[in-house]
Amino acid sequence: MEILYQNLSNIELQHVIMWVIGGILIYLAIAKEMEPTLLLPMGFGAILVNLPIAEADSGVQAVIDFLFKIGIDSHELFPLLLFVGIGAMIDFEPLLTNPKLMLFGAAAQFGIFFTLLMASFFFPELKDAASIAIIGAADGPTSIFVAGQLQSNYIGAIMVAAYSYMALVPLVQPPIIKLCTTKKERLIRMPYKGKKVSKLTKILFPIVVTVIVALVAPDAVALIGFLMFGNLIRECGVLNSLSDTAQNVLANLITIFLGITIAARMKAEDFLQWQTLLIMGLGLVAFIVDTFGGIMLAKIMNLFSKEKINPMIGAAGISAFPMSARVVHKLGLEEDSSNFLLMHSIGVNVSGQIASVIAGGLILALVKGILGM
Amino acid sequence: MHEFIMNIGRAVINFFCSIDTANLTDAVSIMGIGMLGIFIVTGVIILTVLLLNKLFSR
Repeated sequence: MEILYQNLSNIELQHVIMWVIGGILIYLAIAKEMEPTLLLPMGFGAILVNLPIAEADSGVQAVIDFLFKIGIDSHELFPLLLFVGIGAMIDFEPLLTNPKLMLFGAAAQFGIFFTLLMASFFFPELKDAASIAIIGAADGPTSIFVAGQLQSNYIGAIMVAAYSYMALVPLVQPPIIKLCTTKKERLIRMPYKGKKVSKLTKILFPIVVTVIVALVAPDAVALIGFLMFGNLIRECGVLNSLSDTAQNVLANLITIFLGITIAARMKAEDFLQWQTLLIMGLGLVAFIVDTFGGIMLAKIMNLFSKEKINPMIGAAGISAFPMSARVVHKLGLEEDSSNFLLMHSIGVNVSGQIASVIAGGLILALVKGILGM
Repeated sequence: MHEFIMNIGRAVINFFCSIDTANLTDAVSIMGIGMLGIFIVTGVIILTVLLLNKLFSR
């Protein structure tokens, strides 16, 4: 009876607030189906690590801390393994048939660097500003990897912002796309020339990209290496069962533990700070500027190109695979029910996946160079 | 009311005075080099894909 009273008396307002936040994440995951694979474990984890009993050596905290230590803190094992699964899921064919789509993926990383500039106003430590900026990669594993490598103090809030906005892409992007484009631009048709890509090209692509990125941005080699390894398993044609395992079993298994592990950094004392709200705001800025960057490049290219590009596809360079491509395709259909932009937007979307990893590697190299890490 | 507005003004001035310009300079240089770097790497990848397509197209 005394223990019961002790536990009840340990409950503080900040715990209750974190339970509510956990509850909201679970609600969004179940009722709104927003990134349920991550928001649900994160929501439950947020409740779990903020139970007063958990603080009193119940073992729960120790296990979650251990998962964090081996899965994120030591060598970012979880995000890297997840990238094997993501690589196995991605079909680069739309990109290989029209490689210039990669430029949109590059342009849509502008949000990362713009947010870095904004974050440096509010966060005195460059490593924190850079970790917050990488929310703009719109790619959970890259955000975890960079924030983990830079040992940011705000990794919990960064993860929540990154995954929340990825889930909110269908709500965040359409108004920005409509604001940045005219109706005439949105009606531009882009016939898909489905050129056949040889199997050898598909096999060589992941190997070549890994080598190129490793030479220019060595800090991104782990991310791009694991992503492309997964893709090589998919494309080689002789490891179908491994490809299937990577896409389903491995990705699901890691996702379960990743969500609950991130919750290790959602303890009330770390999470309930004014900086968390600021990080959420900066994350939104990153996504908006990413979208803007991709669209603007398409508009600029249209000034010089005979074959006009529908600027909406530039918005898919935000990574957030495959939601962003679907959003663009849906918007295209809303304007003209016979305008199919899916293959183009998928091509831009997968290029955004590669570009976000390159951006992460460059941020790491540049920030570590400045800080002497 | 006057005091309240003065306090907000002071807070704004304090905020701008507290901005670390060294950090800002670093951020601007990272922005420039970073965007340039992405486009260079992307350009190299595009050229490589074009080459692969040319070499191994059926």
